[in-house]
Amino acid sequence: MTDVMHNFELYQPASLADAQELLGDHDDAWIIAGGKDSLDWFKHRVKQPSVLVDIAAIPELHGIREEADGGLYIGAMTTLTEVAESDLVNARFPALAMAASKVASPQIRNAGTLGGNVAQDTRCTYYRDGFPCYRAGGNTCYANTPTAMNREHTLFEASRCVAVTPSDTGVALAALGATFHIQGRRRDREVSADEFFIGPDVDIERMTSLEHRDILLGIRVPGTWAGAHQYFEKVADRNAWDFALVNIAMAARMEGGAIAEVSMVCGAVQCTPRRLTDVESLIVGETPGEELETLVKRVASSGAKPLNYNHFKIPLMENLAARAVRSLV
Amino acid sequence: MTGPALIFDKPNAYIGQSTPRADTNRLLEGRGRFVDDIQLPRMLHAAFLRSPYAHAEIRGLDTSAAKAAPGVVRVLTGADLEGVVEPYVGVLTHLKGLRSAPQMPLAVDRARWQGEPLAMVLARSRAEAEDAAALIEADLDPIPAACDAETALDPDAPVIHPEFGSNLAWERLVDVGDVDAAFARDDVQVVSRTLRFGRHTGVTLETRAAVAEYDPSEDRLTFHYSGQAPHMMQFIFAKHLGLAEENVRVVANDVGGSFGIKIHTYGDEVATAAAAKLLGRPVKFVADRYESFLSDIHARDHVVEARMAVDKAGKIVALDFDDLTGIGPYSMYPRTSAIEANQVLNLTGAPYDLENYRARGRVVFQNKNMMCQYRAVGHPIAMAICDGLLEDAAAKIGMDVVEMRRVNLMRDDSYPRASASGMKLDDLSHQKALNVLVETMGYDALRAEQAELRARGVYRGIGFVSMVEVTNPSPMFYGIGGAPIASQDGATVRLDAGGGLRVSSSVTEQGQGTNAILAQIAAGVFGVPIERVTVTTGDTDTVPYGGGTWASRGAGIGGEAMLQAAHALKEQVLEVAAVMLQSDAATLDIQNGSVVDGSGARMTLSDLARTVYYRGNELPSDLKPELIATRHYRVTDFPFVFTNGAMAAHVEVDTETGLVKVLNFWAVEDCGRVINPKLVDEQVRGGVVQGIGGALYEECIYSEDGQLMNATMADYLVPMAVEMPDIVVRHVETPTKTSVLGAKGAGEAGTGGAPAAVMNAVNDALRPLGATLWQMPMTPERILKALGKV
Repeated sequence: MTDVMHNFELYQPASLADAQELLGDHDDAWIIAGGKDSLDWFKHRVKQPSVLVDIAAIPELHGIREEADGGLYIGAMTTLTEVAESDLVNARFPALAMAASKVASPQIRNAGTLGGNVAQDTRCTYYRDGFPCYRAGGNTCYANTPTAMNREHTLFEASRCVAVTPSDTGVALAALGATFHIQGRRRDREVSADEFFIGPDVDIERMTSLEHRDILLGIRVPGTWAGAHQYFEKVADRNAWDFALVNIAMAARMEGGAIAEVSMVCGAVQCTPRRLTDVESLIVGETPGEELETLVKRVASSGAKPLNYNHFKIPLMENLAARAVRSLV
Repeated sequence: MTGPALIFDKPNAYIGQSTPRADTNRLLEGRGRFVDDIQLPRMLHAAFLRSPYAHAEIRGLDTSAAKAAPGVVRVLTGADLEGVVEPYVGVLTHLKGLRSAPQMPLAVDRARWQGEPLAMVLARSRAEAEDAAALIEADLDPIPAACDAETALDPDAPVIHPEFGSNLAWERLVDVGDVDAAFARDDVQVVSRTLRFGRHTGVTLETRAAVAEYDPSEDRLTFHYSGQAPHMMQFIFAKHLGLAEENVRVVANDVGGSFGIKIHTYGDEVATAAAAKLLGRPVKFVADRYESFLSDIHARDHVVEARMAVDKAGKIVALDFDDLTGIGPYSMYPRTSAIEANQVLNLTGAPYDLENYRARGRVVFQNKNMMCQYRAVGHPIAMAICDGLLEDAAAKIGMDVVEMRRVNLMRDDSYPRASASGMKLDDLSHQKALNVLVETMGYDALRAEQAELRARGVYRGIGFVSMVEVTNPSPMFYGIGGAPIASQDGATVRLDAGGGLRVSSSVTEQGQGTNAILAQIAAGVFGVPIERVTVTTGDTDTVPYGGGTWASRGAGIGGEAMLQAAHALKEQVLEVAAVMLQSDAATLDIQNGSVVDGSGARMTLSDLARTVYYRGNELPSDLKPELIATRHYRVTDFPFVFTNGAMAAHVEVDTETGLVKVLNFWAVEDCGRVINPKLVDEQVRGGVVQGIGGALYEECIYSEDGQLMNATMADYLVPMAVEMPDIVVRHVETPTKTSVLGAKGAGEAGTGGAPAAVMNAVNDALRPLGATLWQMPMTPERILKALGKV
């Protein structure tokens, strides 16, 4: 069948300027970071770009830098292992360190990058198997039919496509209010998680707002939640090297035993990380405990529209939200 | 048995020692010789176009664009192989009534499962072959498919082979005692459950691979094979490609795992051999991971309705079940796909003293990839049925599960005897194994801890299995049914001029250490340091004729043949030495590479061999020295040499997420004489991990229309090292009386027993919450559903 990648030209620019020039020269150029998602697409021959631009050799895309506001700037090519093991990240943003440490396997974390993890494509098996679905430019969704296998698909915000975000770090970054630093064709821009991750209603063929000639340079995690109480948990069929069935990230501050401020985000339930605003507004000012957990479970999944086979994600999501609140006790 | 009695006490007897494998350095240094390492002049590479549909009429395959693509030498379709390959049918005469349709390597007219090969592209490189395969215009017309085994027998189900009138491939009923009367007794409690076992597969590290070369000048085919049964494949290629058997050479060098996956006849491999013959050029085919998932045989896929009656004392009064298994559109050739169901009927309840036993097995065709023998054939199903219901019944009558086993397990002094299904049993140690297990795991303390944690909302469970394992099969397994599968194996031992020993055997090495134990036995029995032994296996041109390594037979059968051959050569050598040393052979021995007597070393083996080979003039002319010996061995007194074991799993279930964590696992195994403790422990641990995989993670998930949805390593979940528990292994050694060596098999016990132990442990954890789960794998989703949270 298919085990050998198609032929392509590989460029390995050593500067951002060179990378931009290459992207300008080649309309279907594909930016490759750690390659953990890209190479599978190529080996299965579902996607066959003729030009690859490998951005690994660009120095400013690497490393973790402290910011004046107590936050961190993490280069997009920083590996997940570096993020997970960084003292700075662990001290200030343990939810991010935990999320990075839960991605895939040690081998993949050693090569896979933070930028790649947030920009990776969805895991919908129909889409990845090359079915001509909406996301692949076709005119149907194979995962949302009466007989389709959709246990890993959306509870919320489906719009023709029912694929979910597979990223663990994206969920933590969204909870921490991170911004995504992008170099475009003409100028740089910095966007919030809300703008970076996009649903099928915005563009059904992309998971992020990155367009052709956009390079994700780095991710800025503001000092807002540095050192605050944080929580991350991921549930998967296999507790190592597996994509989340549901994951959750939370950052919170307590005052006098009550929740003063909180940010809570769930992943793998819709196409983008889902901010649990109902839970947030419910629990601010409240004291964590069993009573509050019961209330949290009631609202955590409100509005969910399960498909044929993914009803189980609802109690999973509710339980994870309750556990996050329990961690504040 | 006759033979050497004192071989186990010699100073350099390696049997019983954890001798390192000789091939470790070679493999770790990357000097393995796997099929894909072979590069031959003028070699072509094959890529296959496979059916994207579970069931489709093939209206036409337009290969013109593919043929014109760069580097392409030939494109073959099913029609091109008609007349080149004789079709094959997977039936055995002793499985009465089993039927299957003739199969061709590439589908002709109709494709019957997603992944069935339709066309083969032969090109200068694999990349060019894949490029061209994408250019084949396949005009396929999807037709209704019978994918679900549970509905495949419905009157309105599409019939996959119309000539059979239904999708039933085989059916067997075992009915012993009076089951209905036993269930009707008013002093029994009855538990009944429906158990489901998902499909899974072997996921070998090295995928299936083949290099075929054909020499038309000698009409000779050489097939480089990643597999377990070279002589079986020699017969199959000869028969189905129209070659003389002696003109077919099958060579298995290093094999990166097999687990029963690589012991069958696959269309893509037969097509590779046929293409080499047609083109007169070597052809290589290496399955990629995606086509491994689509085409390597799958395993299990059973639905079992089962019930058990027990009396107040906990005695099992009757066991009754109905097993339905889906095998794909054909019975696999030549071992057939009915053996697993047959094993389930033979093995269920076999550890227990059971009088009333009824079991029905039905094997059905379906439009999915073929199901066939995989590690621990039938065992996980058989053990989960009986031990699952036993623990369910224990809960119902309020009896401890260990106590209930003690009541029901066959007594260790009650052999020889037969199981309810009629299996002949001897030399088993169920009671002792259970005692060792309970002591090793600290059972009482674990139960106390469990109760204490439950009070705090932590749900842990302890589950057991007492099991038998089929090992060392006799001709009653396959040979009797007409399959070209040897149950006997041979070993040849040759003393070379330098004093080293060159041995060969017809059993094979797939990574489990067969070659290492063959060297141990030869060195120990003959009397040379193990470094002086060189082992050859896997080459039909040079090794004695035999069956290969499967059904846990390598050590027990291949090892005994090696023992007998080494002992025979020793007697031959001592006969020569006695003449040369003018001594009585009875006073001589061979130790550490020298002929010795009571006074010490008298002559090195090298001196002896050089004299025989180079200076025969020094020997009396009536002495005709033979420094080579061959012996063969088969099991004669029993259809199988059963082993037994007892295992326990300790798990924690997270009731909010449905995640199961296996905290500990203990395995007590009686494989008779342990030749190499480290290798046996590795086998048991690897088997347990594979069993945990089937219990918790692994499943080939098909959509309702027969599409395999998780054919990647990211989506099909095998157990990973980090989440596996420590696995404690203990041994009880009850040597089999069927051989001098006394070794039974050990390779499949873990895989056969672990699923039942894990399932029982999960249910032990869930029961206080009013929940149980009888479907494997036990995923978070299914646990949450069992808990009523969905």
